[in-house]
Amino acid sequence: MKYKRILVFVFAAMLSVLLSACGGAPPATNWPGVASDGKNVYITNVSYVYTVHLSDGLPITVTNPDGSSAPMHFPAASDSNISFYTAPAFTPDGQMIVGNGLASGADLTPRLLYSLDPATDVQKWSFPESTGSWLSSVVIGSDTIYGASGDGKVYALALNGTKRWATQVSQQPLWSSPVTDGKHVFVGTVDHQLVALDAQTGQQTWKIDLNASLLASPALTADGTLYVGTIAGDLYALKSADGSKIWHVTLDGNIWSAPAVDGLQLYIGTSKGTAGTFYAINTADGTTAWTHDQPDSIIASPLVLPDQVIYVSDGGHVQSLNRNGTSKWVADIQGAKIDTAPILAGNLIIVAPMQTQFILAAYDQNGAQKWTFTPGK
Amino acid sequence: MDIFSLFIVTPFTNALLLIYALIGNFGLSIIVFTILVRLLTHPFMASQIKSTTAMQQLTQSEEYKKIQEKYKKDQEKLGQETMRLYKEHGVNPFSSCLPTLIQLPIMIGFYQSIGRAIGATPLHLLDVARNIYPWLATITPKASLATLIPIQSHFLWMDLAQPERVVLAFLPFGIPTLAIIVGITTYLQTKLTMPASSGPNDQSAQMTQSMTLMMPVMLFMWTVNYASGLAIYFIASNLIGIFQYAALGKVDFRRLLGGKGETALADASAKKKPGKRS
Repeated sequence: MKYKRILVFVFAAMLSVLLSACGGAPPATNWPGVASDGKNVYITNVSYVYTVHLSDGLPITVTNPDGSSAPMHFPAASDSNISFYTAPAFTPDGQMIVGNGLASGADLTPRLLYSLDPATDVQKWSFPESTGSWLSSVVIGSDTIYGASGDGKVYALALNGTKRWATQVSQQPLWSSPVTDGKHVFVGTVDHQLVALDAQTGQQTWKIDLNASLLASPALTADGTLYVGTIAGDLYALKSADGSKIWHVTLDGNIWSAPAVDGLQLYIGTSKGTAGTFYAINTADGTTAWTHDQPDSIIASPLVLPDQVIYVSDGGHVQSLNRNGTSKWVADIQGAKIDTAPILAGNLIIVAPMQTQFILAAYDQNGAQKWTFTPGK
Repeated sequence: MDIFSLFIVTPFTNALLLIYALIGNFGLSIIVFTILVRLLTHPFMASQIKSTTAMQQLTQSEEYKKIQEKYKKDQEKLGQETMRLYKEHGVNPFSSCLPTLIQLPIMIGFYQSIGRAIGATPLHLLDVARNIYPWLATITPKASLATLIPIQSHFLWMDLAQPERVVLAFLPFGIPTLAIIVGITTYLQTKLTMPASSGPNDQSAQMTQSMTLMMPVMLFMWTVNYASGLAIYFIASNLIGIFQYAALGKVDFRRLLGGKGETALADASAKKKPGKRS
């Protein structure tokens, strides 16, 4: 009987460990972030920030002490306390800034914002004050880094990583990147607010309640207009000076991303259940120029090129439309979800699919796939 | 979507969000939903207790003990005779396990629905958006996705989306008070509701005693690192479980004072001869 009791103890202890491993803080899984400096493409894919050549998608390699070569990534070795989800941002003096997106947990440790040398992935500095995870990219002003953190604060840092100011704008985590015109910093919150802060001091200039969560950044144009969408499908044009409303329209579905503005029109996709609609909206008055129905959700911001507008969808489609809304080309990635905004790097369109073998794919502007990148290959 | 999500997790997530829409507090919503789930599974629990009682009465009977003694060297015959005895008295040895097996997916589904409803990142929220029933908003406009988000995950001193710690200035670490309460209430529930031992060689009673220690440790380990919303569920579930057993007359508070106690099971066993289940 004693033997059986010992067995029960051993079994229960093993189960405890197993359950504890199954538990953990809620995994901060999110879609990857992708960026380019015109020479290389950088992608954050949970454990690492990878760097690949823009020309062929091959990873930048480093030489090991034994003479062998291996793909370069940050951190050099996987660390269970670090996860990356946001697109790296680049400072004028050549730093790459990216934050730890691991969910805030019981460890009470800060979530660091890192400055890296993009050529070597060597860490230059880290900013340790945020207790919340970094789920949005930082935005770079002329000499200041602005970041919105999971602790509900907007941080302003000098380019050497020292804090200039920090302002609590929400009791909820901040999920979208701030935008700035140099005088003000604008950030949306999931508790329905669009907040404007003084870029020099962090003091609140104005705040407006938009009655639903803002899941994405506003788009800011040179004429001082902010365009921002909410989860309720409301799209607003606001004056950046005081937050006053220019126009407001309600689209069909939830808005998850920032609109892309190109002069007289803005482009934005929506998600309604498992379907979506892509809109071209006249910036002057908010009227709809044209729409394009999508059988799956549109979560990410589109990419606007001179002769086409490209959006990605949750069903793994890369859709290019002519500027009049007719289809130009479509590229499908079987079984993938694409919730990360496509970017233009050189002449290539870069997309970052999830749930498929490769984590990056490059297309030319006619939709022909040029390369893919799979970690570990 | 897999079958478990379709039939268990998604309906539970929607029910939890609907309760939240109606009462506006996620912590209280978890407690209310726990009560509802416990009420839903109460018939299974009552059936399980009844089956366990019948089984225990039978294993304490003279007839059972005689068979055990007579065929102790012939395991095959012992098995056949034991099964004959079960059949004769209308006892199904698996009927006490079945209710537990039915309850288990419900409990796992509930635990998953708490994690899903909180939505800690945009991708998690997208999952909520995909799985929320469109007709939920027809019950109350507050149950539309746009109105529900953000879920107010603060309850008392806790953020239900995060593991809970009480931080004291003089300690370098936080104290997981909620996980400790989970451990204590689990111990209380197991201690108060475990069946009485039929004798010094009662193997099932010895196993139950081991579980009295193991279960609190296991659930403590589980909840210490998980979102505190789950700990709220376990605490509410344990307390309601004790109340349910008490309502059925199956709680023996003397066990807490260190006495061996006599459960209603043992009482019934001493007074009644085993017979056909009614």
